[in-house]
Amino acid sequence: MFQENLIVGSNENVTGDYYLMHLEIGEREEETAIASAAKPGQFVQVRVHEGTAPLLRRPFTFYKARKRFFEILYKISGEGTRALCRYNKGERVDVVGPLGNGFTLVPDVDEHLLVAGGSGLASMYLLSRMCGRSPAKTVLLLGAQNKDDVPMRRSVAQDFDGLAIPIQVWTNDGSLGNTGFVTKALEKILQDAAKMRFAVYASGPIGMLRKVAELTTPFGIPTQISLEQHIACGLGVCEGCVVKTKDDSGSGYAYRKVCSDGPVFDPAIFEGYWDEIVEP
Amino acid sequence: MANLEVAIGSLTLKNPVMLASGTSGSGEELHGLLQLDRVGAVVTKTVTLEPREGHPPPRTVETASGMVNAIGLANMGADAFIAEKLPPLVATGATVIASVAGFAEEEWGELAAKMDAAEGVSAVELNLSCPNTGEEKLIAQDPAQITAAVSKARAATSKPVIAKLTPNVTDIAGPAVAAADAGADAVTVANTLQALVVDWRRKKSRLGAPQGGFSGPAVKPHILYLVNRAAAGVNIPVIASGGIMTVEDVCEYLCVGASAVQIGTATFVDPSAAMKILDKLEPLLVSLGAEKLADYVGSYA
Repeated sequence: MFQENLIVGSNENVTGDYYLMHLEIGEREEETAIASAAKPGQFVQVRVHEGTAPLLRRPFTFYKARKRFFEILYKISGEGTRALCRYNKGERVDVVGPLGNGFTLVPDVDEHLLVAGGSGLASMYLLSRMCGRSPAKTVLLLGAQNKDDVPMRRSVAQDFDGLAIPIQVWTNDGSLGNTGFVTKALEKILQDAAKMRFAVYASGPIGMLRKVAELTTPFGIPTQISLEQHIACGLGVCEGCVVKTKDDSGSGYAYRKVCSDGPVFDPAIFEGYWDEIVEP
Repeated sequence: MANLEVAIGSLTLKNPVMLASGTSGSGEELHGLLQLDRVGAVVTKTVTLEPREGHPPPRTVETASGMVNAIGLANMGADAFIAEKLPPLVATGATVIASVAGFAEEEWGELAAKMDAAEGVSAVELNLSCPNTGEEKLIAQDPAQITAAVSKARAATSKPVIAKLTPNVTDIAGPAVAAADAGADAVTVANTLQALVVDWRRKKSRLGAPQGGFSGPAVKPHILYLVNRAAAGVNIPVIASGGIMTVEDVCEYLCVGASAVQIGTATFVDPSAAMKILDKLEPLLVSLGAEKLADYVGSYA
């Protein structure tokens, strides 16, 4: 893991409360060590403000990562993200990463199903590219409350167009795409093609992740979910971001750290403990 | 060049900037972000005789220029720590101070004896003041209990013993004197302030536990006062811990009587905070006309 002082290349509104921040290394250097080591689903801890309020860093997953830069797609949801959206092109931001365990490509499947809810889209571009390296088909199911919560606009829309993968959009109020929960779409796909071998990767609200797990884990479908919680250090030091899970023996429970044991988990470990996970 | 060395009993630290217990894990988590052998000492996460799972989440809440935590002394137990966590930390060349917490009086002696035997542990810090154990009263709020715990530990080890005190007292001088008289080589002032974070709609704590400990830059003025009080009351070194973010904060503490400092919450905000402070401390002391650290300590009028 690395700590770098990166330059804001751009920090632009995508739609509604969504922003895309481009962070790059200075001209004299070859690459950012953080971006070069980044894997889908891993995250960075960003110093969103140089003063003491907000005090703690905020975690953001990699939206895109190349040698010389990476991007984060974020939604303004509090003081930290509000401070972040004020950064201008050319300013420097202190970043630590890459942190945590990301998504792992599941081999020997027919189809990768990516399920994102709202800001959960943030990790799906890099994940789609990883899935694209396997011969299996990749499908993205994107859910949101309404059209303002679908950050598939401007350069984000262009990025996903470039991937040329099927994308289904579902909104609860039907203001964009299909009407209903995105997990309905997942349920239908799994039912219609019961003989196909799927791998499911999900990122979004706790309720959505729980529903995904209920649809996949009883049928042995390999599933990975990315969990979001408030994180203080991000390094596994403070033990502040724990969630209750089954322990390794399966007979009792254990607290696991979202930052360093996750943020990507096998959802089977949450069986029986979903009610105790607090939406951040 | 100003000499930054500081003596804690028989132990000489190369500089006064330590990493506070509970904010640097067992050190190795910070690998690559911080040179552990550059800081004065790494005070490891508190261990108890038996493993503890800690409090249910949420365990941290950010507040105005600070944070409240209720981790609940989650740890793997002293034996597992010594076997698994200590060797890689010692291998980094870091000076290691092991933080321990007992519940019954005898446990302080048992834990100190384990750390006395543990290779690579340079000193023992007694966490007499964790606000997250669920005990009604903190040991560090009762001079008689401080005397008992420090005496037991003192008898069980020849390594320096540091007593970590609580700020949650009406006068810190009493607990500091009790620790010194019982044989402590230094006192750390202080642990976190007892605090509530309230969800007023649901009428309950925003933490998984009913209360927590408050830290970060917001607490600094209060802890400065306590450090100054404690330093006036005892002849052993006072180690300051309370909201240090910058080298200027360190100088404030040294000035009012601290012989050394611990960096805590700042490490969450910036994992390399202690190194950035160290880079600036020596030239700053020189500019203040100090040839050695002790020239400046307690210079507050």
